Amino acid sequence: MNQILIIDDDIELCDLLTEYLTQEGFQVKAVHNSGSGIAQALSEEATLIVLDVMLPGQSGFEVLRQIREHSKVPVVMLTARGDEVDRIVGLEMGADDYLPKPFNPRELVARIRAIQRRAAASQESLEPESGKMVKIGDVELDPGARTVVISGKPVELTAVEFSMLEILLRMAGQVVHRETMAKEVLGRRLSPFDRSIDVHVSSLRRKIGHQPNGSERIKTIRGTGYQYLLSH
Amino acid sequence: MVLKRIFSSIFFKIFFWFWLATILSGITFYVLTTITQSSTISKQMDRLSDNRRRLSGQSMVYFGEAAIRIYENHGPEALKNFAKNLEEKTGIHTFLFPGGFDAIEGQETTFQARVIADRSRRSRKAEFGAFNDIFLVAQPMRNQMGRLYIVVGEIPGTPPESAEPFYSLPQDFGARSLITFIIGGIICSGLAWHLASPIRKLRNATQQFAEGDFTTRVRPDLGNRGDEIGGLAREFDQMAERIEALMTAQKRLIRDVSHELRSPLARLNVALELVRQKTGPEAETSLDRIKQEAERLNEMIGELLSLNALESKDDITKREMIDLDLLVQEIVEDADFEAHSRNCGVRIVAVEAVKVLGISEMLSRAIENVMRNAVRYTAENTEVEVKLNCTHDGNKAIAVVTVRDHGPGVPDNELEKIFQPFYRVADARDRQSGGTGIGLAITERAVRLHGGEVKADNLADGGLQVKIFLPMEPVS
Repeated sequence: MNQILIIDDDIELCDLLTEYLTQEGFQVKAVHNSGSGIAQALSEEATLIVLDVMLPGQSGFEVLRQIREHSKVPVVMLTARGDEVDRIVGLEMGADDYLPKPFNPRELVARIRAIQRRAAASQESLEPESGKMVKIGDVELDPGARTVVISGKPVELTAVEFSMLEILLRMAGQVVHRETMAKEVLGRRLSPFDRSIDVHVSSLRRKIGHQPNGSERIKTIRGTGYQYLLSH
Repeated sequence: MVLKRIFSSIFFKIFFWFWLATILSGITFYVLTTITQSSTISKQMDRLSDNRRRLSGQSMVYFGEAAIRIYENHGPEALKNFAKNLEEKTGIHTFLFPGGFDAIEGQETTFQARVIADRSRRSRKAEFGAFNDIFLVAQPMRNQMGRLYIVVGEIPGTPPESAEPFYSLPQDFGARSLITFIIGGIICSGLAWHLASPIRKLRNATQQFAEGDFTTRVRPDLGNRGDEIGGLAREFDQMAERIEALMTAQKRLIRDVSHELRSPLARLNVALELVRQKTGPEAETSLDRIKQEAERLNEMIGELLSLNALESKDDITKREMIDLDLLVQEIVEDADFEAHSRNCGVRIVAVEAVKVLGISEMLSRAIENVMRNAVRYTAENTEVEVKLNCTHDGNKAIAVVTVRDHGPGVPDNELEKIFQPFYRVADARDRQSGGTGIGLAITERAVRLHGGEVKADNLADGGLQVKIFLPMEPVS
C-alpha cells in the first residue's frame, strides 16, 4: 500500500496536492488537524507522511514527536521558509527531509520517491545478507537492526542520520563528498545553496557527541564534504 | 585629544569650578579677616600707645612740679633723694634738665635721656621715644618765673612703641591650607560624581538603544533618584518601552503578512503543476513564465522576511568567531555552480586566513547576495573575481571582501542607492535578469550590524566592484 498521508490545515492546498500526487501515481489521504493527524499516522496505513510545521493547536513538531514515539514511518516536513530553527529541530526530532513552503510540487514528488527508494533498499538489506556490522572505535552500527551503540550506550538516530553515519563509518578516515552523501542518503541531487546535508550532519554531531578522548568525530572538509575521524 | 575630552566633561567642569570656588572663598575670607583684624589690632595698638603717652605725660607733669620745687627750694641733693625714692617705688628713672640741657650736680643722666630732652627743648613739646626696652618721656615745663625745665622719665619694661599690622602667616600655613583644599576637593568631586555619573549612564543607555538594543532600560539604576535626573531616567524608560513596542509590533506585522502571502503562493505552485499535468507542450512556455513570476514573488517574500529580521540586535548572543576565508570559499563554490548555467564562473583570486566575530548565517547571506548579484550581471563567458584580505585603517584591522564582475556596472550617481530596499537600476527592471532589489539591502543591514560597511564602485576596465569591510576585532 503506497499511501501518503498529508497533515496540513490548508484545506485547499491539500485538495490540490491530493489531485497532483494522485496523478503522479500515489494514493493520498489528507487530514487537517494534529489530532486526526496523529491518529491516522499511527493507524499505520500510510507509508510516508507529509507534515506541516504550522498546525493550529499542537505544533507540527509535537505531532512529529508523538508519531515517532510509536512509528518510524518516513516524514517529510513542510516548513516556513527561512526558518533555520524549524529545520534543525524537525530533523533532530526525526523528520527525514524538509521542504520549505512554498515548494515546487515536482520537488516534493522527487523527495518522496527518494525516501521510498531508500526505504525499499533498506528493506532488501534485511534479507539474508543483512547487516555487515560496522565497528569503528567505540561505535557499533548494525544496518540490519538499524541500531547504533556508542561506548556501550544505544543512540537514537533518525533514518537519514543513520544512513549518514553508516556512509561516514564505512568510509572512515576518508572524505565523503557532499554530493555523494546527498545522493546516497537523500536520494537526490543537491541544489546550490542547499544546506540539507549540513543540517543533518550538525544534528548527527549533536547526537553522537565527541570521541572518548574529547576530540570531534566528524570533521568538516570545507569545499568537499565530511570525514569520520579515526582516533589513535 | 584625550585631555581635551577630560577637560570638557561635566564631571571635570563641576568638580573644578566648585573646587575653585571653595578655595577662592576660603582665601578671600582669610585675607579679609586678616586685614580687618590687623587694622583693628593696629588701631587698638595706636589707641593704647596714645593712652600711654598721655598718661606718662601726665605723670611727668606731676613729678615735674614736685621736682622743680624741691630743686629750687632745697637744692640738688634733695632732688637726688626724691628721684631715688621715686625710682624705688615705681621703677621710673627720672631726670630734670634746667633750661633743657643743663646738668645738675649729683644727677647722672643717661645718653638717651639727654637726647630726648634735647629734642623736647627744641620742639617745646612733649616727646616720646623707645630705647631698648625702655619707654622715654620728655615733658617741657616752666616754673613760676617762666623758666624752662625739661622733665625726663624712663619707664622700663613696656612693649615696643609702634605696632605693625600682622602680615606674618600663622604656623603650619602650608599644611593647614593643603588639608583644607584636599577636603574641599573630596567634597567637590563627590558632588561632581553624583551629577556626572548618571548622565554618563544615560548616555550609554541611549547609545545602546540607538544601536538597536531596544530592551535597554535605566530605571533600575537611576529611576529612584529624587532629582531631575531621576525624572529623566524614568521618562527615558517610558520612551524606550514605547519604541520597543512599536518596533516589535511592526516586525510582527511584516512577518505575519509575509507568512500569509505564502499560503496562496503554495497553492498557486501546486495548481500550476496540475495544469502542466493536464496540458500539452503548447502551454509549456506560458506555464514557465507564470512559474517564474511566482518564484520571484516567493523570493521577495523571503528576502523581506530576512530584512525584517535584521532590524534588531537580539541575535547578539549568538555571535562567534568565524573563519571568513572558509565561509567565502563555500559561497564561491555554490555561486560558481549557479554561474555555470550562464556559462560563467566565480573564482577566488586572492585570500588570506581571516577571523571575524559575528553571526555566520547573516554574514553568509550578506556575501551570498553580493555574489549572486555579480553572477546575474556579469557578461557571458566571464568570471566573477573574489578577493579576501586584511587591511588597517589606522585604528584597527579590517577584513575586506571584494567581489568584482564584468557586467555593465551601475551609474555613478546610483552607486549608493543600490543598497536601499527595492532599488533597481533603471534598465534592470526591464531586463529579465532576475533579482528582487532586496538582496543588497540585506547585505547592507547585515554588514552594518557587524560594525562594518559596504561600498560599490565602477571599475575602469568595466564591471562593478563591491567591497565589504568588516572589523576584525570584536564589535561592541
